Amino acid sequence: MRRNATAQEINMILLEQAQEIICPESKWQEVLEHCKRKLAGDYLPGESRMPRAYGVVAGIQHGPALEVERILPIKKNVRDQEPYKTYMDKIMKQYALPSKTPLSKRGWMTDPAELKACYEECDREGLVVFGTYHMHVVPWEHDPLRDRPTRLDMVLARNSRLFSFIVSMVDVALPRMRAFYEALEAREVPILIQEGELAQIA
Amino acid sequence: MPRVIIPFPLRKYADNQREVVIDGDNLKETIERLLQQYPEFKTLNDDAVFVSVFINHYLVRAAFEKWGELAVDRDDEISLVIPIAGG
Repeated sequence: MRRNATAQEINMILLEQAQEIICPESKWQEVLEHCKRKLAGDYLPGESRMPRAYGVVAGIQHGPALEVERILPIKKNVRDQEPYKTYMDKIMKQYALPSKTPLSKRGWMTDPAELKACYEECDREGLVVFGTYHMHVVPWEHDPLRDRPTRLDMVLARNSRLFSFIVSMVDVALPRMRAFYEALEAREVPILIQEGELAQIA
Repeated sequence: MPRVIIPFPLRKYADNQREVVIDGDNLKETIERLLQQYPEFKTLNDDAVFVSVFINHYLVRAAFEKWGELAVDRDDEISLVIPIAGG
């Protein structure tokens, strides 16, 4: 188990001031494996049966750099359970762009108890939650790569004080990931994959 | 007095504390005092954000108007969880 973060480390945490995110290759692969597994319809026991992958990104901060140490996939989706359904239906109707998939089949929301357990795990390990990740799979005419946040992503991340990691799985052979503070395009921070030498993945 | 576990994104507004002790006899009073003490937690009042509240690991399913009827005591732990959602 990781040691607890020192007070000095905690005081350094100002996520919105981060200038780069360092992601070890192994953590990037964990995100990819999660996305590919969901796309393949290979579900774990207790996991919502939907081809969407999302989860929590946690780690430590080294000055202006955030270093990813944990990827915590989320299993459950409560989007169709009340009271979340009413809230999500309203948001979807107001902000989601039309697509082939009906609004009632779009959108997801994490189970709060599962998210709470993730946060408690990060606390125990002395990690800070940097953000969340989720994948986009359908290309849009105006956004063929889908590696940027949508208007809906932005609305749902408003005031989150977290990074939104957008994983483009439009082309499974060429996946991409980009990070945006509160899903704002103007507040993108580069992700560097760490594998011997640093190489940009987005 | 119950302990309130602060969600990660809001800790910087509470001197980076994981939890704070707030005086309150019921959930509504505790949350209102929390917001008075940390006005930067305005996210909790933003109707665009759906905040889940737990008392000792039990999710509070009652509507906000009923929170005054949910007694809390000094050994209780209140956790606030801001959900992750996407389209």
